[in-house]
Amino acid sequence: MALRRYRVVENLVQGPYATLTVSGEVTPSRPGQFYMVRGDWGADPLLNRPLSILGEDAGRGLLRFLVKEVGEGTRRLRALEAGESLWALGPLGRPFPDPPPGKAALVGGGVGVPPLVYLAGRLGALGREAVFFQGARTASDILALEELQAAGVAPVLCTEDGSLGERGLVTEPLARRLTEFSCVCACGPEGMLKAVTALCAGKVPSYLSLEARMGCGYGVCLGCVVAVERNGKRSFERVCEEGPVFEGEVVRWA
Amino acid sequence: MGVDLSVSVGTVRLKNPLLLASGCCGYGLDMEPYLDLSRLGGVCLKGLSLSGSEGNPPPRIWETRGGMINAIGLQNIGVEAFLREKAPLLRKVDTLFVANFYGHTLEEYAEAARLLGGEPCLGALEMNVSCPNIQAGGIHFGTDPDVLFRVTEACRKATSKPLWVKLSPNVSDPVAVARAAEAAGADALSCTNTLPAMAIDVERRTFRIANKVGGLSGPALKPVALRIAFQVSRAVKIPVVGIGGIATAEDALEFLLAGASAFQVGTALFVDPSCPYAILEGIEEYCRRHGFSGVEALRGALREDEGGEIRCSG
Repeated sequence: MALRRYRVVENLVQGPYATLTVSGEVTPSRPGQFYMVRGDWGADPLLNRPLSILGEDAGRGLLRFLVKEVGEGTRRLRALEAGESLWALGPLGRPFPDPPPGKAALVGGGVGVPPLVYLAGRLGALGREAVFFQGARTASDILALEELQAAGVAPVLCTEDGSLGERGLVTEPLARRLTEFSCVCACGPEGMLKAVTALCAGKVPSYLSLEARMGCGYGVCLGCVVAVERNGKRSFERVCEEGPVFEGEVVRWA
Repeated sequence: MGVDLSVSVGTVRLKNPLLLASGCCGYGLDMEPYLDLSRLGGVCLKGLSLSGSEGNPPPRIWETRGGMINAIGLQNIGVEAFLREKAPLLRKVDTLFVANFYGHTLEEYAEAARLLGGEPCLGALEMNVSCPNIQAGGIHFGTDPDVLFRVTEACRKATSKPLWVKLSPNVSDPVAVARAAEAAGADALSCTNTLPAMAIDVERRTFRIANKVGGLSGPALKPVALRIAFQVSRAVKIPVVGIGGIATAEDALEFLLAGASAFQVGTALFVDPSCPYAILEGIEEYCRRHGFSGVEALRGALREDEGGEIRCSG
């Protein structure tokens, strides 16, 4: 595996978000895995940015990412135009496990949406039923509806201002319908992940895809750790290597 | 004509001058998906202590302009677990493995050196002296020449393996600490470690790193590390291993010309884990272009350099 050059085929900008499609050599991945990504910008910003895979067509050499502008690196990635270069190392990390038999709940918002869209596609292909609970502040932050439709996954939308779908947090409809599901897969802001974990505790298994500031993305810098507890023993585990997907009950939030 | 990339660091022979830096390549095997370790000069393993360490709570890293700050807290599995679980796997790999180690007391340093000194897969030991000395109120072992002499001497007596001392850049007189390590029996000096640094989130009025202070690495550190490698290589007879922000062949060549016998690549691996190949190719190409038959001829081959003490001024 190596840092490889990809060519931007398309970049669709939606507010602070951009959906990047790039072409190049693609190693088949699983939902939840990610790439470390940079543009052709030299040594500054220094580090690659971790981006979840939104989708891929390994046969045709296509990869898709969703970027949200939060700083200098993501600002430049969002501004990439077709024909420009993008460097990426991956796929990296431990993916979502295939859920147990039954219906799966996918819960996410913002940059937490892409791995769940990818997972929705996989579940669709496996003939499994899934419901996608997507939360956002307002209607324009709701993402990837077409992809979800293509995957045949029913979306439940929530906005905090009520401009689309149900008004309020995404955990409210999830709580009402929790007994329908054999597992919950979530990715998004820490507050949402904490609420999902609390809701699922002792009732249904939950899998969280965590976000972290990363140095290397492949396990050597130990910069991206999260506190976990397994068999009564606490330790720090790497989000890039033991994760980014963790069982909800092992994560010990700060 | 082929270029001879091999170099000597004291009694140790390396296939080429490039080593992976400690803390940037795990226990070596983590790099195998990206690099054929047998094509490298060597690999400096993640810093080990007798009892191991769970490390600092997150956030542990922050990116700065041209660099990054880290406060990992020397998370490691401990010397015994390393010898039991990792070392047997390294014995099959044909490269120079260097065990980086540290302690909180002089005795811990010596005991770690003794235990690691018995492991056949290790070609050298590298002392990390940029950590607090509990017996001396938390002052770093590497900042006081007398303390550094004593801890180096204790490790020297504890092992017959080549002993490298990784100097701290956070000193007013690097030559004084370098000479102390040399006098105590060090076989080589790694110049240098990260530089203590800080970043603040002004919106939240909080520290960017939970530990408040971390070590600066990456290209931003290179000019400082290069100056120290130059000063030290001029002042001691033992070899210097250059380290600090090396990401390209040109960076590495600067260290070699400044007097380093070999060099280490660290933070650059985070960006491109396969970058050592390009660095080695670039060095080979440079030697060919400038008529050097081997890398060893580059060492200290600066023009307009009359030797003697270096005066530092702004």
